[in-house]
Amino acid sequence: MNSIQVNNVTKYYNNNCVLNNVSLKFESNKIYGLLGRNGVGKTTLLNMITNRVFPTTGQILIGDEDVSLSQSALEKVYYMTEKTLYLDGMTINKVFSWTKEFYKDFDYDYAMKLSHQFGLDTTKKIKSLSTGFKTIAKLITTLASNAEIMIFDEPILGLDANHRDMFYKRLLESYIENPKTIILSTHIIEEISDLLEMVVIINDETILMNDSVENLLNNAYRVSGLSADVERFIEDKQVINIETMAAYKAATIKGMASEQEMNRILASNLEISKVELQKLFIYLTQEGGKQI
Amino acid sequence: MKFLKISKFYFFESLFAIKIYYAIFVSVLALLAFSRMSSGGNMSSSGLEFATVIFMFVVGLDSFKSDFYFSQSVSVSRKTFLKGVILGILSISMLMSVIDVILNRIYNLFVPSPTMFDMLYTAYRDTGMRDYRTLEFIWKQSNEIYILLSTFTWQFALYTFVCLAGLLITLIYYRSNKLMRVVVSISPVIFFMLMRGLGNYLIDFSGSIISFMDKAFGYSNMNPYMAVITFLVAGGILSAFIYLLTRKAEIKE
Repeated sequence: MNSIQVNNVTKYYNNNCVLNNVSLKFESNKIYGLLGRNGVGKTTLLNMITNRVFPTTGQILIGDEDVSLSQSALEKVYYMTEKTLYLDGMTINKVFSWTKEFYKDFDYDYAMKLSHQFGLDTTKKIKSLSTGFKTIAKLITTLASNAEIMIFDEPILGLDANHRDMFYKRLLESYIENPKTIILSTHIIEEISDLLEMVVIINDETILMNDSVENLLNNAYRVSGLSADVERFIEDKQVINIETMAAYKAATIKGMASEQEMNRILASNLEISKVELQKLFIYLTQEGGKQI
Repeated sequence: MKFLKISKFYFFESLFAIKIYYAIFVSVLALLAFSRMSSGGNMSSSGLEFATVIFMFVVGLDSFKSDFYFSQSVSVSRKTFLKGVILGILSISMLMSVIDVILNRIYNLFVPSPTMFDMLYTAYRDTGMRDYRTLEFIWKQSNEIYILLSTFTWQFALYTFVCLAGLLITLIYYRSNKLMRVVVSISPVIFFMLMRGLGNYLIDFSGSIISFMDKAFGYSNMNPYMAVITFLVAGGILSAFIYLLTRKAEIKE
């Protein structure tokens, strides 16, 4: 069992409420995107899942074990954080060999192979690496850990486009070869949207959404065309967002377009398209954003 | 058995500092031995392993943050981390106590040098180093099994206690906010000022305090094992405080 159950979790930092009575489940062997604007509590939630910080109230289970009480529950998780937690003086080789001590399935050869592919010199010390290569070292360690649950917080910090692409490919390969629960928390939604199966959006101290990407994207569509035509079409619709470009308008509408609506769209010379995950995220989380 | 792995990690990560320390320590001993030989043998030293006591305190001070962060990166619970660190401290204390006993015996071949243990619990404290009339060296390091074993055990208990004290101090700082850090930093000064101010009132108690310390450290009856028990009990109490502070320790972002 490598699911994660978050039960009625509230977290305060001093008098500041970050998460309020949050409950959600990360199901086994699915790839999740954990999305939210800066400071909404994504990292706090991940830190609580891995028992690095404590909820003010509530409980978190991995499988059916409480993370605050069980070492075996924690061992199922490898959590890659934005902050580098390895000792500065450690070489990458040492990071790999020590991690192998704690994760019995850690694949040292695979880690070395990935290091070669990413161009990471494993004889270098952590403190001598650039931000990008520190991230690469952490990514490789996480991928090679073969943990049942892999959590990546800002996994592409400082990575160039080639390295980012390589990471997505290796992550997907690893998942296909050996399905596991993966949580990706990043602001670069566009790039990971194809990887994700499920998406959790945090906003205003609570979970705004926990659904499959497919459901989420099927539950909204976008029509664009001349402003007057678009205005006419959206009169009786639940509009999530409107963008205006000179005489043109693009409206994002909640729900699926019926056959009748499709005919109206075609007849009105409007264009219909799918909404991108990143756009939808922006609409939902902006000031006064509407829920789907 | 993750705590064994943490203790292994702790031990091996401290090994580099230990090697550097002994490289310096042995160099100083060699220099002193050379000085004695070139000065015609009119020199002695004592309690050199006090340097190890200071080193162990520093090891304790440096024992928390980086090791805790690494343990968190490999998903080790706080309880397991603490068990591992304490086992690591015990292993290092044991190793350093053995090395110090060996180095002392070798060094004594060149320079008369009683250990802190010798000065507190052996005949040295009555005779001293030299005959005060002839000024000849009369003290000789004993290599009896009892003395060797007792020196090792006493040093081991002392090093463990000192290292735990360092660990507790660093943890108090780690868990405190800025204000608390200031309070903790000035508290020893306030303590000594109070003691001085209350000196006259405390004088009535000083006899019983001295008597308690004497018994706790087995000084009068030359029983080093009383001191060993005292150090270990005090170490246990420090460990309990360390546990309370580690239980809710979090990574600082």
